[in-house]
Amino acid sequence: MQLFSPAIKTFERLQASDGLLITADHWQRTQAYHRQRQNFHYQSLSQAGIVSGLGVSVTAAPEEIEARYRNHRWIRVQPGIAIDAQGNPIIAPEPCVFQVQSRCPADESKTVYIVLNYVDPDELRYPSSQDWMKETFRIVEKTTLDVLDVELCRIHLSPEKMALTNAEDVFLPGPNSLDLSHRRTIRSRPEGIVRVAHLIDPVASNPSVSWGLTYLLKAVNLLYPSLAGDEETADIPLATLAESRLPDSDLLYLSYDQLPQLSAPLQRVLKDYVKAGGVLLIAVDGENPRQAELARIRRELLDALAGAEHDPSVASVKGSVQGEIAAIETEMTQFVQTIRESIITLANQSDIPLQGSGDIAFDHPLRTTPFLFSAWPVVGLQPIQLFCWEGIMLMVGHLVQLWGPDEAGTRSRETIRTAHEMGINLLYYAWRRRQLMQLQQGDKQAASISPPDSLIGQVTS
Amino acid sequence: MTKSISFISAEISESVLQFVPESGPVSFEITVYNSSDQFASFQVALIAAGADSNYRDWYRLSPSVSAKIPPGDQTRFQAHLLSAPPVPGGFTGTMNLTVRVYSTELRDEDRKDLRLVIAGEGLLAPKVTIPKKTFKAHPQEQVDVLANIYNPNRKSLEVVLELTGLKPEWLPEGVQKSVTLAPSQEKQVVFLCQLPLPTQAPSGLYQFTLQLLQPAISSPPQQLLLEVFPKGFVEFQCQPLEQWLPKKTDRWVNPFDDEAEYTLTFDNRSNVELTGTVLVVDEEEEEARQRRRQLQFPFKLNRDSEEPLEEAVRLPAGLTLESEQVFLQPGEAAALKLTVHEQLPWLGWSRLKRFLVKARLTDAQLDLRNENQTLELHILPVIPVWLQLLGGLAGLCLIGLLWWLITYRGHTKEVHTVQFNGAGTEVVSGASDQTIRRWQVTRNRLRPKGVIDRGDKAVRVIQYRPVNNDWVAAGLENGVIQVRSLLSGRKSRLEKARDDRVFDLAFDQDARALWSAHGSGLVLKWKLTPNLGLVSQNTPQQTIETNFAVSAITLGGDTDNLLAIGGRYQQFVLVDLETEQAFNIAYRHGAQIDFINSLETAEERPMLLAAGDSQGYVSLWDIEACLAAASCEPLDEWLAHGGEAVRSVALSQDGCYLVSAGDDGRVRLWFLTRAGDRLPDWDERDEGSVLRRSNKPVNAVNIRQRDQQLLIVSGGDDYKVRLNHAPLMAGDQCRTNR
Repeated sequence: MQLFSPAIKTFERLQASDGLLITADHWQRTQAYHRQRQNFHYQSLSQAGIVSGLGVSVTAAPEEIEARYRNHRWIRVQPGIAIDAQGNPIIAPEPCVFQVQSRCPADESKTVYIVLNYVDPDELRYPSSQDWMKETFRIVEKTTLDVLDVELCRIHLSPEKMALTNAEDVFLPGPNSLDLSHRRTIRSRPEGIVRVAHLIDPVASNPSVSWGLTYLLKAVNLLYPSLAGDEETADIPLATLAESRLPDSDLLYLSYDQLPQLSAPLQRVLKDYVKAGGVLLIAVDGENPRQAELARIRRELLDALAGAEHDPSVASVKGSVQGEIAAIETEMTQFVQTIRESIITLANQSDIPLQGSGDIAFDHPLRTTPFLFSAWPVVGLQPIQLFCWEGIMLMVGHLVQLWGPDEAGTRSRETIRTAHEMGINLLYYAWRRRQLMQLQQGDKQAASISPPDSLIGQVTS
Repeated sequence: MTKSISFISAEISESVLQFVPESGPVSFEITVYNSSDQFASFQVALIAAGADSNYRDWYRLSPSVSAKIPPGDQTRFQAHLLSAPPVPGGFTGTMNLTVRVYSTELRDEDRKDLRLVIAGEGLLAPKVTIPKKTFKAHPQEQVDVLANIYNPNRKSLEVVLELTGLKPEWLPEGVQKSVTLAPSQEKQVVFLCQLPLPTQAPSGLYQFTLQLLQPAISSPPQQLLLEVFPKGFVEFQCQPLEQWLPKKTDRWVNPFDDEAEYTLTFDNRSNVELTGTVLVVDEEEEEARQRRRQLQFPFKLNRDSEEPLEEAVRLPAGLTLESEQVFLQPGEAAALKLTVHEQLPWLGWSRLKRFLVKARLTDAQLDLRNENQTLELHILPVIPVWLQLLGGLAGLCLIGLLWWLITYRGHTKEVHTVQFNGAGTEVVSGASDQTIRRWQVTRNRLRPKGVIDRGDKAVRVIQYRPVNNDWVAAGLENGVIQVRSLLSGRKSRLEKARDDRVFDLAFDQDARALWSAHGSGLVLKWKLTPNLGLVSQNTPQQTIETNFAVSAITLGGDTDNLLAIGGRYQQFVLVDLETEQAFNIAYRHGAQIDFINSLETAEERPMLLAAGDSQGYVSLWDIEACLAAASCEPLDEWLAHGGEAVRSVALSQDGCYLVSAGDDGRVRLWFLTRAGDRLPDWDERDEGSVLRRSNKPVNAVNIRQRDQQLLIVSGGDDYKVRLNHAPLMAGDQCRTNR
């Protein structure tokens, strides 16, 4: 997922004066100016997508086709309207048939995309005698999507059979059937796209973390549409981290348990990542029976204390219960303190000096933007604990498990929403920090995306 | 729409294409314009002149299909030439390449030509065809891998083929073959594969490849398959077949339990990986089970084959197998250890246990040799057999002893008196065990005839009633004289004073009177009349009082008219019963503890009297002479028992033989002359003829002459009553003179 940004280029317009000889060039450039101003506007505020129509169905081969080319791989595209990323209108005025040529190699599966492209009439070879030209389109069968493609449907080809079918279950289309679920409609342009990477240990992977992150990124699109979540989280195996460049992500999720496995080269990679504006989220998300037990006892004691508040008969034991609670809290604080110190030590080793205690002030963006938090959300029986030293965040508590779907079906709507909002605050902080950092970094501005060659991603034989 | 107007126009970026096969693919671009007035998609194909149109893999197009493009739009195709077009016979030089562009919707096509210059030799790969790709063989068989090679070129070609994937040793002629092929020639190449012995050719599927090494034109290697069948056998062996338990025998006691170890060896002489298992069955248990089953299913004998498997999975008790199964690589031998732990029996002979060992191979149809073997185990008892025999013997002895003890019918305390009956056929004896026993004299010994009486006091003295021998008079410790009829069993008591111990008894010849000697110094005469029967009496008929304790009396004289009395201080008194005169005989004086222990007269010579005293002397007296003279001397007197006390003396009826018993435990027989002294010229005159040797004093002795021999019975402190025989002395003057 990429945001298409307009090219940074000044507009030129014709300075018309009396007596100026208007040539075809003048006329065309003036026309182009207006088209570009309009596209500029669209690119700045909106995203590509389908406006209406353009349904896709499997159809019989047209009769005018030679018999040898007739098979069950013909599809029909209904009339409709789309706008591509540049803001060019794609108008299909009448139904159009298309033969899917891709074959799936044996023992593999392959996904092909049927996309629409805008065709600039200037690039067409028209007879010069013709005064008026249509802005038209192409239907292309591709194996990868690029920024100017407007996806109509995708097909997961499998080698078993040739014939294509309409999907029976439109949410979960089977192989060799048309999958229309990934079509985009036009929408406004978000402030930015937040991307998350997840460092995984292939030996002891925790799928619930990947799952939770994916669902959090989905939630971003709905709860805070100004920010778009890239739902494809990058799962990076620990072993390959040193070799591969870190992907272009705002937040790197890292389990506390993985810290001892970070070798010196890995630490260097992480340091560069933080320097470049990325945020490292170190989450203590492993199971800790001792801590869970302590939290449970503390909760029970507090409940008991609250229940017996007006009971004079137990006044004598109140003191000891409070003492007990204090002892438990001391141990829990001690536990967190140990972790915090270990993080500071590790960061210093990696040459990322951490300043301060990491406590988060009441007006820190993590507490305020976009959602206002005073106390942190409660996971299990205990509020999570969050510490932030600019590029490194430490989260104690398994918040990530609240982001994904709840198989047990016991979480309250409020709990999930609170967890998502907290997650969005984390993402927003990371995205915003990186954005601001990059703006400070002078010429390292990300290059704007240029329209690629239309050949790329097309089906080859 | 007429054919003259072309809907498709194609442009090619190159007009001449240089292609060098070794340096990789070359590309050119084809731009197709949609010159029609409708949407259309286009496809492209390359056609090389003279090339086989079936082969399409010498070029690649990108994209393979055009997009559906509007009128006036264009699609650019990249064509990549990967290899020289497949012209039969190979090709070098310049050829025409036609680009065909067509559209399914427009039903039209356009062709454009370009020249393709192919550099180099343009050799075509030789064609290798393999008639048979799968081979099956047993070890030691020979497999011929055939390959037909055809040279499609117009030049002769040196071809090198290599076979890889099999062990080089299997290919005695080498893994490479080279052959020179003339143009268009086909030759057959044979790779000879000799499979080795089973152990070196594991069974299985072998994939191997046949590859062209030369010419260096890439051609895919051919995959072939060789299947080696299982062959060979497995030998099963048990070592040793026979074992002894314990392994080391001890002299006295063997260990209580011991272990024997058998080695069960599987020798895999096949080419298959195998797993061997062993089933051990105790033959006895197996037989018992068979019997049981026959009892259970008497009519279903065919069940035998089904059941043992499930039952026999367990090892018999005491057996342990080192592991359940043994894994065998081809050519490998592996052993299992079977350990037999047995408790040794305590007794008995050696036992033999047989174990049937059945070897099995899992999932293999191979021959298993000697699969059933019988192991023998001899188990010796803990106690060696010889020791058991000895113990048994000892036990028998013990039992005998016990039996003897239980059934012993002799006295159980010191015997004080023995007495023959008149005929010498019977003996009575009395002892401190308070019994009077009766014995029958058989040829050699005394046979117990049971207890006549069991009283409550020790018996001091017994006398048969001389007439008929049908009564027995016994003098007891407490002064009672018990007279008992042997026939009726009736008894009577003669008692004058309580606790006046009876020392001796004497019947007169017609048994009408019984004399008793008492410790109080009294000698009493009791009247016994047979017609009166046995009547208990308290008053004796006559009383003779002495001033010493009387320890021995006897009647002598022709009509029993003389009573000899001996007692303490070795007093010796003769009483003439007719005149009632008493004569003191000058006997050697003794102390208070000295007694005349025994006085006897011979029946047929009533004047001859023998005496024994506690000083150890035996003396013989002629009492007639003593009565006549004022003083008398003994006929003979000697220390008969080495100075120890003489307890008893007895004379034979004829007075020719004297026996004496003393504290030295000896019974001695003395031969006397007619005159009444010992035989003067006798070798053993001083010692006498010793008949019995005992280490305890002998208290009583009696003698009878019967059937030309002497019977002597004696009893002593060793509780025994013993009979001795002695021959009469040949040419005895004593007897012949009578």
